[in-house]
Amino acid sequence: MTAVLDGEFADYWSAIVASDDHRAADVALAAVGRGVSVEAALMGLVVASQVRVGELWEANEWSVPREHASSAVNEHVVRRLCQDVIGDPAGPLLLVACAEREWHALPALVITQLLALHGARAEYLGPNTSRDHIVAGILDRGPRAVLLSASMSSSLPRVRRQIEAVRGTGTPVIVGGAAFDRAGQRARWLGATGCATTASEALELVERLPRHVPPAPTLRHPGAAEARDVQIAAETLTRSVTRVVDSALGLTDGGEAAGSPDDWRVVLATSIPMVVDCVAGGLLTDDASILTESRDWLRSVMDSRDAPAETTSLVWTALARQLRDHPEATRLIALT
Amino acid sequence: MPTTVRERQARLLADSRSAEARARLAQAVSRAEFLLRLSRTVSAIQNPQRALEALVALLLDEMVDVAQVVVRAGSWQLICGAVTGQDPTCSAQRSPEDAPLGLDDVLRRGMYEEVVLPPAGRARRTALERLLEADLVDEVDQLRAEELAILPLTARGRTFGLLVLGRSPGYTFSGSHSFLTDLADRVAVGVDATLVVAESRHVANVLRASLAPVDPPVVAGLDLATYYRVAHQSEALGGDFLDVHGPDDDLLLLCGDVAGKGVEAAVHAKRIRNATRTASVVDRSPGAILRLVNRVLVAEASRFDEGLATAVCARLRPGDGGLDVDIANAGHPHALVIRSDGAVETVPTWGVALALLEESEYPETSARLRAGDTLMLYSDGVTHARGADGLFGDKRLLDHLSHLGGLPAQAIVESVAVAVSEHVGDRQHDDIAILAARYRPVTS
Repeated sequence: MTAVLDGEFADYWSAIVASDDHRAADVALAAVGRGVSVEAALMGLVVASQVRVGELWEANEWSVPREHASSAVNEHVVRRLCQDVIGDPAGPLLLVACAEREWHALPALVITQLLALHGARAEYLGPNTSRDHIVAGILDRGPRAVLLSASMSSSLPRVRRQIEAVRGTGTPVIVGGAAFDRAGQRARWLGATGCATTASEALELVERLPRHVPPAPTLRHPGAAEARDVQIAAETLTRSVTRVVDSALGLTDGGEAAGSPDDWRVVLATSIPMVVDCVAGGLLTDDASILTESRDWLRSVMDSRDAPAETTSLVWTALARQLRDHPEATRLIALT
Repeated sequence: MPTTVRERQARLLADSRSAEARARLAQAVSRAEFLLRLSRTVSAIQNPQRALEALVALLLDEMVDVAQVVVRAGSWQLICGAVTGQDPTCSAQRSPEDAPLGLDDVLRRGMYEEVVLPPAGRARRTALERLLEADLVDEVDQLRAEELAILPLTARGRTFGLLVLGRSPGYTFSGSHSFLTDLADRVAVGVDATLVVAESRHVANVLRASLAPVDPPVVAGLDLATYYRVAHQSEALGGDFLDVHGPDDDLLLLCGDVAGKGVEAAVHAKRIRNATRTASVVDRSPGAILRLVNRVLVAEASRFDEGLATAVCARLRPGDGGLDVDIANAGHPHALVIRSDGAVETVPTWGVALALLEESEYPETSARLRAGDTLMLYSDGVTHARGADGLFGDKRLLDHLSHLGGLPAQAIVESVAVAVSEHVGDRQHDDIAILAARYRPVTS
């Protein structure tokens, strides 16, 4: 199998750096013309470059707008590379959706194309897929299964609602993406019918899935009730934690004055709601590692933006204090 | 496994009329539990084909060895049949040419029947072919089934389908008549509702496809992107509208918002898009277009506030060293220009909303885009998006855009959409429409 050359990736990367969608597509199409498979081009150029963009953002070397620009270029390339890919008409029909409020559409878009390359009929429902939109797709198209992609563990509470919606129609739902652990523990807690990490794994799974599944059973473990509390009070909780952290750090205006979307104060203000969602996700799946990951991520993002060293631990202390009446949340936070 | 299935089957369909009370009670409990599960399965899956597949799979798993369901909907016939061990697949056919011949008779009679099958030979094949789809005839023949039960599916006074059931040799349906009738009633109600939903969804989807804004065209020298999200997700239609039309060197962009939401608003929005396209054939200047459209809308409105709408219309033509933009505005948020260096300019244009006053004038303002500059039109769903700390607002929008200079149109549109969505959180939002056009001169 012909692989993507280092030189090709370098050319592709320079097109990404220049936000030049036409040149990026030319590089990718030339690679395919040379004998690289579409799948290898997707993985070796599109996915590889987007992973690097994510790392550069986390390290504060790339701004949020540049990240958006590179996604736009990569999406353009995926569409160009795959415009001739049509799945096997006899293959199973799969709908590919993204977690609500997740705009990182690229993983789901790439998975859709890979599924089609492997013989499925796959349809992509777009980023930030609402439950209504997924259910409408199910009613109209009657898919064999829905594939749900989630990149951020803060999405897990919303993923649970989407799983309930899909299973309510009797349709199996396979989840995948960086929000899930490899062993599939989180997926099982949330009621997914299956969990896959690659397109071919997803297709193998589809073969073995029941045709129809019962509704997702109500979650009854102690954490589930607390997760509901946290979700309902998410905004109040976010405000309280933000206020405590801001005053400890001597910030007076909640980060509003800092204009740049990459200023640590702005990133902190947008990260606290995600941390709160991670607490709800940890409670739903009884998984403290979600909080650990969330804290490590926040620390790395804060450190690379020269935030005061104590920022992350201040957030955690404030969170623990606000949730002290919730034994399960307290237990999970103590484990991190 | 087969033994347990057999036992369950035996219990559900056993003739227990002469059995002792405890056995009859156990059977009644199993039957009730099974009917409940059956109803839930059929009603939950509101896609007709999948619902029929689920129904047949469940019947084969729990009760019988042959199951076929046929329903008529409009000029279509859905048929799904299988024997134990097969994965049922539903097919849609134009009825009734492909249908087994005997089905019509039974559908007309609409009565529960038990058909005793001839033991062998030509007569047996004929009897099977009358009732079963072609693929199933051999299977059932080989199964040596002795009789078939035919259950009409009747809802709202109309027999619209049939359930055909069969068992392996030695088992009959006698003594299960009332249970099977009850079963057919539940199936009929569930499937009927599913068909009604599917039919109205079909009509709605056809309308939706004709009303929804289309993806922007590919235009030489321009990088175009749109974002469109409606308030009433379940209707998938809203009162915001976008349109891009005309030749590459004289392009018209339109962004507007009609009062109201949902399908009524979408119908009106479509009318304004059409009126704009028609007006642009007469005169391509944005001011003249809005003036004409306004007169049409005023003339059509029967009440003062009916048809109230806002719109901004931009005309794009290549000029000396740039792209010349002429803009007219009818009560809509101002168009914005995001320079490649991140400077954000408002293009101030004033005019009264559409459908208010007969003689409204729409003066034009000009701007020029250089390479990498972007023109952005948007609806007030962006700035009026309500979050935990108030409206999204002009200031937040302008601040946000000031970091997006020179980016691809898609990145700008998405970045604004994400910012608005994060601001709104889980709250209900209004219709939102954004259109961005980045000037990208063709270098040859």
